[in-house]
Parts: sequence; C-alpha cells; structure tokens
Amino acid sequence: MVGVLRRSIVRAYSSQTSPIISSSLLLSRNPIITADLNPFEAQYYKYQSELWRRLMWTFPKWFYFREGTLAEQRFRQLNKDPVSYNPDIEYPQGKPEIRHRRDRRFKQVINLPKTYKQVGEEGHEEESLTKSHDDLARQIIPNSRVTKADESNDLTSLERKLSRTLYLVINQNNNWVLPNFVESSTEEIKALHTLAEDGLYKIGGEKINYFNVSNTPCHLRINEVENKKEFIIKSHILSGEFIPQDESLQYLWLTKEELKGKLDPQYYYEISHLFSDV
Amino acid sequence: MFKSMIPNGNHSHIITNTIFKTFSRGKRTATTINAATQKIVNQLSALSASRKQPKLIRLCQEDLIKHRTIVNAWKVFKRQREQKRTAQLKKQYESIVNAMEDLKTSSPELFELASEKPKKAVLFPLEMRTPTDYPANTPWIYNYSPPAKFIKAKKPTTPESS
Repeated sequence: MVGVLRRSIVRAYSSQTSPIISSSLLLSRNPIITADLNPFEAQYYKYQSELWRRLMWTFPKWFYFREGTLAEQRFRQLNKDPVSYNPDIEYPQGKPEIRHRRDRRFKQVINLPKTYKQVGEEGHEEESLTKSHDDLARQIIPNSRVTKADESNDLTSLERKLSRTLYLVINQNNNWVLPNFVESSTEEIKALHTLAEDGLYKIGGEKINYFNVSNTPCHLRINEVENKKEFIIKSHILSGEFIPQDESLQYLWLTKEELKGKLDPQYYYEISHLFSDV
Repeated sequence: MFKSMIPNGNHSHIITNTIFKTFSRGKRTATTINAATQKIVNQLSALSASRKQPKLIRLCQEDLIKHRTIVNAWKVFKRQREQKRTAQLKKQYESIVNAMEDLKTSSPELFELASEKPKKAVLFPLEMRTPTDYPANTPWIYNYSPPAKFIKAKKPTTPESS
C-alpha cells in the first residue's frame, strides 16, 4: 500500500514542481442540545416508558404522606380513588383489582400538588407578574430548542441548529470551501496545526476559544487545480465568535446536509466522511 | 442546649431522638434508628410485595407478535446505525493514515511535528459542554477574550504574518 502510494506520487510530480503543503481547518461547533429523535426512536421510547410505568410498583403513599395531615388531604383531592369492585355488578371490561387504591391492571398516574398556577387557571397572570425569577416555587419553563437565529435563518450565527454540529466554511472565488492556509515564509517550518491556528486568527480575529483535537491531520486532499496538498486539521470552537477581519470575507456555519448543497459536489464527496451526522 | 441548636420548625423527631440518647441509662441499645423511621420500615416490611406489584402482563398471541416485531425493528434500526458509524470511523482512520503516510514522504519535518506527543497531557477543556435537552439562557458565550499572557506571546508574531 505504502509502496504504491510512493510510486504514484513520484510519477505524478516528477514532471512538475512539487505541490505546496497547506493546512485546512475543519472548525466545528459541537451540538449544544441533545439530538432530535427520529419518529421511530420517539415512538419506541414512548412504548418502552409506558411498559415501564405499567410494571411499576404502587406508589407508597403512606411513606410520603402521613395520614391525617394537610398534605395527605391535598394529595387525596388530586388523586381520586379508582372504581372499586362490587361483586353485584358485571364489568364487561374486566374486574377491577384494587390494591392500595390502585387498579393493578393499569399504570398508576400520580398527580402531585403544584406550587404554581398553570396557564388557563385562575390567577395565573397575576402570579406570573408577582413571582420573581429566582422564586423556587415558580413554574419552570424550559427554553425553546428553536432559537431566534433558526427563525430568521441566519446562517452566520453560532446559535442556529443547536442540536447539530456546525462547520465553518468560507467563500473563496465564489466557491464555498474550508478555510485553507499556506505558509508564507519558506525558511521557517511551522507545524500544520500552528499554521491553521495562525491562519484562523488572521481571518477570524483572536476572540475565538477553540480546542484543537490533534496535531495530526485527519485528511489529505490533493488539490490538482492549484497544485496544493491540503492537510485538514480538526478542531472545535468552544466560545467566542468568528469575526471576519476582511470585510469582503463571507462565511457560514452549516450542518452536514447544508454543506452538501453549498460545496462543490466533488469536494464534498472527498471530505464527507469527516462530517458528523448528528 | 440541644433545643437551641435546632431552628424552629418541624424537627420533633430529632429532639426526641437526642433526648432519648442523652438520658438513656443502664443497658444501652445498639439501635440508632429513630422511632419514626423504624415505624416506616416495619410498615414496609409488613406489606407484602404482591400487594404493591402490578398485575402481570399477559399478552395474547397477536399482541406478542406485535411486541416482538417492535423489538426486532429496534434491533435492526440500532444495527444499521452502528454499521454506518463503524464504516465512517473506519474511513476516518484510513484517511488519517493516508495523510500521515503522504506527509512522511513529502515533508519529514512536518511529519515529526504532527506526530510528536504533547509534553503535557491534553485534557478536554472545561468550557466543553455536554448536550442538554433544552438550551441554557445564553446558548453561546460571545464575549471571550484570550488570556493576557497569550496575547503578549502572540503579539511579536502578528506583524510578521500580516
């Protein structure tokens, strides 16, 4: 394998000047929220959790709510007893089997007293105005998984598609490519990852906090048009922002699928295995 | 003394327990469990498990087939996903090997630099986050500035490169 590779290189480059070694940067923003489930996964998890609830032991009410207390009374108001078994009545759907105020045939649904008023309930609006943001008794509403950047379809924002890995691409001669850097001075030898780092700071400013995965390049792309060898270095952006130092420089943060549409098909095909599906 | 240590509130069992411990004379028992807890333990052990357990699920033949189909479909789904991932990892590994083999011949100096092991152990940075179900109030931190010593170290090199 190695022998073949060497021979081919010798043959390919003996007639022309040796290719320039350059370093490309595959800068990714890792997902901030968990991956979206596909419909089958969602259905399967629902099925499993329902089975699990059906097979759960009865909630030990006597352990958590002492009889005769106010808390127990509130709990009883929220959780009505199931239909009890009467031997004189015929049950076409099957006889209820009540144990500890639970019908053993079904899963047990427990409603716990809430410390807040829900939407649509009386006094909800007043409460939302009066309750402070740090109040422990407030209703906890998680932030939306869809951000403003998603709504406005801002492709340059780092806050878009939080559940996906985004990759930085820049526009070069009307082609979307990974940022590529060439060593300017010939005397000094600079490691590939240092070259990529300096290049990134040069085009994107120094306010980028990033983590270099390895000094080892993860891919070699031979650019025959420009007679270049592009060694791709992988790294993650952790915080900060890519601010183009040159006004005319266009850049985008794209997912794998979007890259397929933007990049040159041949270019995408060569490097597609480096992109994450998640 | 003990009472003053306990703030106002529902701590009656703590008080009784402490008093019990302090004033016990004669034969000292090894039990440190408090009375209320002991009562619950007794209650829990007195209740038979069968009364707490749900009814067994008895599926008819058709439902059983449905269940098995679901489980099998899940296994197929997982296997396909795993195969896809393994194939991608293999490709990635091969492309690393390919790149390094080429680098060895085209530039041995760069190969040395690329393959040398870091002197200090490289740790994952603390800023790296585990994905959560819902985003934080500020999904991304923009106002990052590099540490001062880093800027100083970088400054001499910037005029050269620009």
